[in-house]
Amino acid sequence: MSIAATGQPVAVERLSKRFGEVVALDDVSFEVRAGEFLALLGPSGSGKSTVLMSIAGFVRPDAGRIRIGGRVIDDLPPHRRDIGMVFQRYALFPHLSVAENLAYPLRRRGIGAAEIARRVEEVLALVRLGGYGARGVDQISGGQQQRVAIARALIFRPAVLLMDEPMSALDRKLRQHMQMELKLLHREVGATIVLVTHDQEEALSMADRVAVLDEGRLRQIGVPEELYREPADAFVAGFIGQANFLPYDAPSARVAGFASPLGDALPAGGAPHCARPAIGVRPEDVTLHPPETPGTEPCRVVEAAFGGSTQSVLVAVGGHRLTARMPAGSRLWRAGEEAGLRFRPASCRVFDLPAHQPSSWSNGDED
Amino acid sequence: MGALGLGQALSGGMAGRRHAGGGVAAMLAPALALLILGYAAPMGAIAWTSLHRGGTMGLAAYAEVLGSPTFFRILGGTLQTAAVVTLLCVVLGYPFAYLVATRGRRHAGLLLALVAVPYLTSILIRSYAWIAILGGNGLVNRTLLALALIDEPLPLVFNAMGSYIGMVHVLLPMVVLPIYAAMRRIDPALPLAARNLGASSPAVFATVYLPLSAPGLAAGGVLVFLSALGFYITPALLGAPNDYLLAQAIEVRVAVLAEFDTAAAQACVLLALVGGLMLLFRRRIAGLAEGEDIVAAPERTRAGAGLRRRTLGAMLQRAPRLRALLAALADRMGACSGPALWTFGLLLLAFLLAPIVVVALVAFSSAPYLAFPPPGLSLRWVEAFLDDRRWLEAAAFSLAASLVAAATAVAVATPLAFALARRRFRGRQFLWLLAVSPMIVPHIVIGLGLFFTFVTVGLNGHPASFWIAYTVTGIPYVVIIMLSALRRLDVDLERAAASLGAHPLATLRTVTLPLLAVAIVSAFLFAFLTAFDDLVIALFLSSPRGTTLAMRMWEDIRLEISPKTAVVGVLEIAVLVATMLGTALVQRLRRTGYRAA
Repeated sequence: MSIAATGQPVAVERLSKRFGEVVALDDVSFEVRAGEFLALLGPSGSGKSTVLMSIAGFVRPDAGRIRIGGRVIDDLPPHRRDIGMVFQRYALFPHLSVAENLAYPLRRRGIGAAEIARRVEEVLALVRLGGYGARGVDQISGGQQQRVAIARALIFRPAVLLMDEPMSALDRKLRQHMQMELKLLHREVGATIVLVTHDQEEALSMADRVAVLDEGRLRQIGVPEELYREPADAFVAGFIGQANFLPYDAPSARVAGFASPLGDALPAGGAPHCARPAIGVRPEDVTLHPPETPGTEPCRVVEAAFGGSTQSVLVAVGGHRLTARMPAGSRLWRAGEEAGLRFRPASCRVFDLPAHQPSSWSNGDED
Repeated sequence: MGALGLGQALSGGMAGRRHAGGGVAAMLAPALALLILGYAAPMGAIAWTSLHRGGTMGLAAYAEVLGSPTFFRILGGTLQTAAVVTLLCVVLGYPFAYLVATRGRRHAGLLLALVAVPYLTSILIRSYAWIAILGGNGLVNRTLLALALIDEPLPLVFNAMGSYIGMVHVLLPMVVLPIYAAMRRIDPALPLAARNLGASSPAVFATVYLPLSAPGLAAGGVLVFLSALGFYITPALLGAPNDYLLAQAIEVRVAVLAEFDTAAAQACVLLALVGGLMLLFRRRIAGLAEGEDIVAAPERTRAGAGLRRRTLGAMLQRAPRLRALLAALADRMGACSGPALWTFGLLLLAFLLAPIVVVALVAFSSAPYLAFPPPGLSLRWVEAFLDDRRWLEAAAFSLAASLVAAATAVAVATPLAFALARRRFRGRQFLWLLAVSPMIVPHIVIGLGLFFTFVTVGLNGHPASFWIAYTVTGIPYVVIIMLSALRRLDVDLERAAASLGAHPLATLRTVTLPLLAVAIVSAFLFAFLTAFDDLVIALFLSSPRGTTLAMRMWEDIRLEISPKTAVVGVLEIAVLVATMLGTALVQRLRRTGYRAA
């Protein structure tokens, strides 16, 4: 495949950008290795799109620089950057056919008609759209439009492929299918990909590494397992997967309001010093037992939801509420039942809660 | 500024930021120069003339005008006419727009085209047709006489009635189109939600549809009122001969009495009236041109309506029987409102299209004078038109002046629209108002100002004076159409082109302009038609050096009323319909072309 192995490394160095009073990016730095698939993950307004637009050259950062393949590209206009981009709504040219859309970047590079025809056929085959070249872009389905957009961004063998929420226009089923397709395509082509998304599931399942942004700052960057198991702060813990947060009383080494100490639930080495310490614990690390089981904290089941392979149980304990998730096979809990609660060994992490976060909360279901 | 800078300025690429200041200036300069020369300077000339009598500066002209009871009678009559016409337009136009938006969506394109065709045909030709329909010997009176419903012809024209009919016919589309646009913006789920929450269909209309379409209603109403204030042709041809409106009074002072200073003073009063109302309602007008973001978001205060609804509700609460009766009545009305609306809609379309049909029949009439229905069919008037060198010369002159002016308007106002849509600079709102206002300021005022200006520089009647004048009248249409097209253009398409390696100029050529092609063509068409149909400005600019076809028709209608004018009308309508069909065809071909390819 002639499109293969064109990926270049990308280095984002100390990027900052303000839009009027709003700080969009605050000293953001990270690197993408050649051929790596990196996801920029964050809620809306986190600055992830600004990073993407800065790499593409549509936003000029106030400070910082961007290198591609070691070369600083800050002064290059967008059309000279050689970066493929898949836009959120694809931005396929409505006045051109599928093949003309694909040929567009090659024409701009002065490539001959025969070579263009050959490469258009090749890329159509790559995204399994052979025979669709003559169609208008409004005569194909949403999933097909997305594949055309990806093919158009890859056909000129760009150094980097940027994708701005490419799955957001697709329905859930098609989205899961396309995520798998895109992973396969990435392996086949070997391009460096930077994908922007607000969907943590999408980021975790597709990317080699994930960079989490919030309020213009890079919170953490790492492989998906690392972000899930060792979140750097309460925001990452809450944004990637689900987490319960409970106020932590450092002197007595227990959750405020709990009768029993946390014991081996805390990782070795104890807790760092924080202004508003809280422990974070994942629902699957919370287990429920019959009432008055030794070593458990007495609690009451507020609501229970059966979810096929698992059951989610909302319990009230020591003036707090938290969610536990267990295999559905064990024992189904009912609202109103009394129970005993325990945390798995080394499952709790101590975080410093930001001022705007309530001291006891459990973040909602994903999506 | 180099070509690169211009391309970047137009395509809004960020890399052109360093050139941004120069870019905006270059985009604005040509339009601004023409607007100053052909619009601002003439307004200044009117003000200057109104303040000078016999070489000395003073308020003598204003003292004379404002001291004259006749002037106030004319002013009062003008305001009253404008109010009546606005009311009629709103009352007739709203249900029609409602019909198209709710029940006629499948045929919306056709229905709106049928509204637009008369809107785009010459006011002069339409007024001529109304004389044929409403005159003592016209269609209506003959029919009524034949049916023995009346003994002698009704006075339907050459009085206030004729004025109203003619003006409503001209202005109706101006209120239908914005109301329809506002209705289309209403989320179709909202009426369903209201039904589901227990509202009968009249209640859905009163509580959901009416309040949400009110901005379009207000915008259309304001526009009609402002336009009616400066009307000249229709009242002059169809109104009472001795009952002047303000625009006619101004024309008479210049053409007959040669009292330039008082004419200028009256024009200033008219300009102040229109300009004041325009500034007062600028948000509504901006909303109409979909330029909301330029002037600020339209305010959404409906405190008054809320109050009325509450008191009405309270009254109904106390009379449960009345409430039940009303509910039953509402259900009945809901059931029969469809056929009633369609009947009304078809009648209104007949009203709108009647003059066109009449013009076509009269053009091929065998009668030696205007008569309807024609006694027989012949091509004699077509031949008479083609044999008349004066008419053909005037037609060629009009065509040339209008084509050149429309091309100029598109060339200078398109960059202006780009700057207004994509750049942030000081005076943006003012510039938008300046560029759009020649559409609203009465053409009698513009014509008078151009007359004063061009006489001073010795250009009056020169083809260049028509070129400048018609460029100015075309600019508002180009700005409005291009701004709306630019707002619909997804910026990501241009970004995509850049990311795919297109130089800013290549982006402009391969993406931006092709996607704007339809808008550019329609902007050109509107600018051209405004110029070609103009009579009022030509009244002041015409001379032996240059006379337009509209001037020839005007003289003809006033003197002998031969069917030659109808021949011009038929030609114009034929060209117009062919253009509209051609545009639609090209679009359809483009859409289906891929399949064939």
